[in-house]
Amino acid sequence: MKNIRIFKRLLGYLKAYRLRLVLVLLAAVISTAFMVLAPFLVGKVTTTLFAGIADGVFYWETILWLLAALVALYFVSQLFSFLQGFGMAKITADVMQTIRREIDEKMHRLKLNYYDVHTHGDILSVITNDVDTINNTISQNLTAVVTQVTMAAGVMKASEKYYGEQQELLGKLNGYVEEMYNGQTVVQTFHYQERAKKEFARLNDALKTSSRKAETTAGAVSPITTRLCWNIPGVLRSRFLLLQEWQEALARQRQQEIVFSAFWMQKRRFRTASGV
Amino acid sequence: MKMIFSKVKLKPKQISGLFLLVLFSAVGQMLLPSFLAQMISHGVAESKNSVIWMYAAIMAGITVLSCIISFLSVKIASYISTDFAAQLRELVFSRVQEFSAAEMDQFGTASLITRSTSDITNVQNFLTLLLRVGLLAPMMAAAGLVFSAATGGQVSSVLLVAIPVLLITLTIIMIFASRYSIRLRKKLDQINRLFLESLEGVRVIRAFNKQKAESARFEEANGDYAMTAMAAGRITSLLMPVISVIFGVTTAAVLGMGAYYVNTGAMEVGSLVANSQYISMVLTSVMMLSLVIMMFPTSYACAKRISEVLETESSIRDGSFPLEKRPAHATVEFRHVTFAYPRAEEPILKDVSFVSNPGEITAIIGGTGRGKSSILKLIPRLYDPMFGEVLIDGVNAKEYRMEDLRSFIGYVPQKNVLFSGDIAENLNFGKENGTEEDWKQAAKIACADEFICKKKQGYHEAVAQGGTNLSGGQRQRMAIARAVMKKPEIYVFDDSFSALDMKTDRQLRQNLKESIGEATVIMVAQRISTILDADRILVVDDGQII
Ligand SMILES: Nc1ncnc2c1ncn2[C@@H]1O[C@H](COP(=O)(O)OP(=O)(O)OP(=O)(O)O)[C@@H](O)[C@H]1O
Ligand SMILES: [Mg+2]
Repeated sequence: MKNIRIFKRLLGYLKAYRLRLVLVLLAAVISTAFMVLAPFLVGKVTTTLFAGIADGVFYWETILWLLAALVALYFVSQLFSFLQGFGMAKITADVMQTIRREIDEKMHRLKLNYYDVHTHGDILSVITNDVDTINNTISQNLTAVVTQVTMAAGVMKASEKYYGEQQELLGKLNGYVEEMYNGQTVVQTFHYQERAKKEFARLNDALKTSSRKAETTAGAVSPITTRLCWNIPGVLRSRFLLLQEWQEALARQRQQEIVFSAFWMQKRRFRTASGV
Repeated sequence: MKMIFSKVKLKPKQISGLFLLVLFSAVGQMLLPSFLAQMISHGVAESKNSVIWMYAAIMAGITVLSCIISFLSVKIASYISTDFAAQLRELVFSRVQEFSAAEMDQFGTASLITRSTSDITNVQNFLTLLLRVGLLAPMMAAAGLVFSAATGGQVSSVLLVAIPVLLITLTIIMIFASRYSIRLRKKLDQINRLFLESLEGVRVIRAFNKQKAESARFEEANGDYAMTAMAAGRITSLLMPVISVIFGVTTAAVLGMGAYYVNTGAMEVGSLVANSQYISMVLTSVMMLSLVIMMFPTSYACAKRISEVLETESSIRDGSFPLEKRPAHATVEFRHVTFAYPRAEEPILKDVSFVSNPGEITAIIGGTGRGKSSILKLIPRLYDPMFGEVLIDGVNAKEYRMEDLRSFIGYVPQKNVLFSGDIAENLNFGKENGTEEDWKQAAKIACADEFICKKKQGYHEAVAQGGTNLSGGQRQRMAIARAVMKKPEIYVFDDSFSALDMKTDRQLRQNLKESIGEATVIMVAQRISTILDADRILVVDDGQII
């Protein structure tokens, strides 16, 4: 539900970049199409070699041409792949800027009593969550949709569900840590430590189970599907997907880290500044 | 690092199981090209369909098997890494729970939160990466090299050029990317700061009608960030294409060299095809491994920060004095107490002495920042004095077990921290499994019953984090009720009546007087009316009682 809402909003933002987006998608398609041709050329080289052995002559020229074509293929395909990333970077940055501006403006427009019932943490976490989801959707899914058409949609869905659940539990756990650390004086003087540890263990366990599920579905099923779909002609392809997986993990982590640390740091700084 | 691994128990069975699976997986990956070579040499070259089908079936079998193996190994790896993270989180959290106020000050709450949350997540992600890639990649690289050298002869020398080119390119791009990511992070901090400032100051901004100016300030930082983000995105989008091209050129070179050797008869077509795959495997493994290595420094820094927490012992030691042997009850005595906060140069309290006996009220007054709260913090032993002693019921506070000491002290801190949950849960801080009866009694004494009864859900009304959905006065009364739940012998109130109106203040003190019996009360107060009925008034100035 939430994702559909966000996706709709996202489409609204992307409207302004229709032409650019079409160009980016075109670049992606061209890049993929050229890439798909590579195994054919490699096959041609071997057939030529066989033909040469059978005929007793060596077709030097054909082979050199084929190899040159192969190199050219790679260059063209990767040039378009780069253009795609290049164009996408601009769109992503622009859309994110618009979203942040809208949030800021909205903050100045909201009725004041909204601030009575929502803590700053609440407001910030709603915002960062939404912005994060949108950012992920743009920068990963959109390009992935084009380049990995074969990826089974169901798998993505399942792992996304677990991933969302895991994020939520992580948020809860971190919130609990924050609360207990900030209230350390009360926790200690009321000898609440043991009870806090118990509650923490409960949250921690739930998180463990959920992230296990998320990791096994996302991490295990996707290599399988990709391997089955792509592997037979080119080992190369699956290696790339592994790299992609790694990149995604890195991006995810960096995002988490940035959002959290900036958030805590600001909160902290503000507290000291306002003397609360 | 050592610290972490000595405390977190990893299951050796899981690790050796994973190692075996990864080994199988590497062998499987290596066998595929060899069978392909055989298929080409014995099947395609001699046009024997039955042989082709046989090899195809074998290869399909290996692929299915390697899928199963990879599924299992991801599963085991995720078990290991999630288990590791869970244990580590629990260790760190428990350790921090034991920290005294001094250690909390030393690290700072915000830093401790980061260490317990995102630092651990970071280390966990690295471990996952290490288990999934760090194990497989070296095996693949080694096996690929051996296979390629054994079957391809000269062809594998392509790697002598390809590997350095790959590594240099990776390093250059990574250097640029990380430079951008540092800048990006700084700019994001800037945006967050501006945003949070606006959020916290939203009322003031409205009152002065400064929305436009604030938005303009934000937009400037916003545009700045977008520019940097775009540049960073463009640099990173260079990574994959460049690597792909290196791979492509390498493949072409292998095929070209191979064609030459096929011509001279030194090599078969099948093993040429196999070799181009071995070589790309070696390259991939080298690349993956170097990426893991590049991530190591950040994760190592996180691990070190976590170890620092685990290595820190609470500076306050538990005593063992049995509660039954206390010579007195409900008395607090300060004997020539001098106290400085850890790492502060000047003592905050100098030679403070006083006694508060059962049934007595001791009031402490004095200007702001003179050390009133600091006196109170020594009673539940949040800190220890530098010189002199704090005697509780006639025994030095250090002699008690911390749990015992705090069980008969009802401390209401100056900053009333409430926790998210409901009213009842907050009251139960004072008494685990308190009943409705207990809540009502405590709330009545603290004059909190009237506002709790007005809430729709009564005692199960939700409390927001920090108690922000309650008024300042309501929060104070909640904090008092929470302490009353304990039925302590020693009440310690730090400016706990300041947010109450005169009438409630008087009523509350009246209720306390009636209900506490022989307990002793030590309170910091601002209003003269609050301390009128005190048995003793201490005036604190510059850390001394005058
Ligand atoms: N955790 C701490 N670490 C270092 N210094 C501290 C700490 N807490 C308080 N201080 C310092 O100790 C001094 C006395 O603080 P204290 O809180 O005891 O004052 P106070 O009399 O209670 O003031 P107020 O009336 O404003 O509550 C202040 O100068 C303060 O800066
Ligand atoms: Mg004070």
